Amino acid sequence: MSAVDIATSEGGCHIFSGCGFPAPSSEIFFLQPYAALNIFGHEVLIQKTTILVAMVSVIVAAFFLTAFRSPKLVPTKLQSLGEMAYTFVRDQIAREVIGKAGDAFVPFLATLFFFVWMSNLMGVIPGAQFPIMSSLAYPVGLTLIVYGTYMFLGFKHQGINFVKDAAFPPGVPKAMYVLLTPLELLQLFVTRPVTQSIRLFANMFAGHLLITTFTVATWYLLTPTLMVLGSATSFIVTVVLTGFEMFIQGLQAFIFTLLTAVYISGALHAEH
Amino acid sequence: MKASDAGQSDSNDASKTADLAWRSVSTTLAGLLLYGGGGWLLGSKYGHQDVFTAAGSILGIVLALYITYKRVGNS
Repeated sequence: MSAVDIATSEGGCHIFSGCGFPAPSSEIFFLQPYAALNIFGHEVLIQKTTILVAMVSVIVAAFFLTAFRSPKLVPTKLQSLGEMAYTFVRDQIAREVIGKAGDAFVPFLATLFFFVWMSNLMGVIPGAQFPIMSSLAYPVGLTLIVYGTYMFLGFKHQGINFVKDAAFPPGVPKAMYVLLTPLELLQLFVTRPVTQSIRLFANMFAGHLLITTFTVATWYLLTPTLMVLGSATSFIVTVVLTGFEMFIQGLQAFIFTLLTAVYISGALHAEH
Repeated sequence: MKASDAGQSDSNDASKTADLAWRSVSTTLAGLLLYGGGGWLLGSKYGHQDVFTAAGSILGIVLALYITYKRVGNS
């Protein structure tokens, strides 16, 4: 039974009732599957994130399709909202980082930004209340797409120099390359994509855990004793943290997309 | 909407800084894994595993700092 189940179990679990504080741990991220499908001999589990990620895809696609279905010179409300969203990514990310050549990548970057942002937002939307990106597989999948694009563009535009420039940093004594080159190669191919996905995952994981902890504490301390003050404080902290979490959700989606743009820019033109 | 040239370069600097910062994180991680791990492997073969792992980790971090220092100087 997870901490949330214990806290809300029948009879309740409150302070002074002989029930210890059911602190939420990583078990709140292991969701119970709703159903198991058998696809070509593989067992595919349908659980909360499966449904949420499908919902997010449909919501993002439906929003942009409806907004730009029949574009008018004098835009409707939905169209101007869609234009605002799209030009934000174009002006603040693509053109700023990549320059004029960035226009070709705006559809990719905008899709990435709004998909990640909506996925993160699911952490605070009532009923959903689970940030999709706190399941490591999703940030890893996105990073594979981003890094695949980076590698493809890098080799296409710079050939072998793409790796050579990274492996042999300039302004370094030649003898140092023995020690530095393996390190730079490991950095380029392994640890950089790892940090790219872990950053998004860990931020969403930690935020969700914090909010859950204070929510459970609010319920746990809710007794007809002085502890009700602690309950009230926990409640206020939960509300404040939810606001802060919404800020982090947008920020993480932004930095994920921004670094993607930096990678694309680095792949298109040599760094020096 | 067109950003002024000055604003454009400012924000370009900001994204470069973000990239440099995160790259230093992944370089340090790579240094620790490569040389710390190398030390751990050597130690498991020749004994004194703790000494080798510590020395390798320090070497890895120093090299990562060196690369970061050079990279920031060049940018």
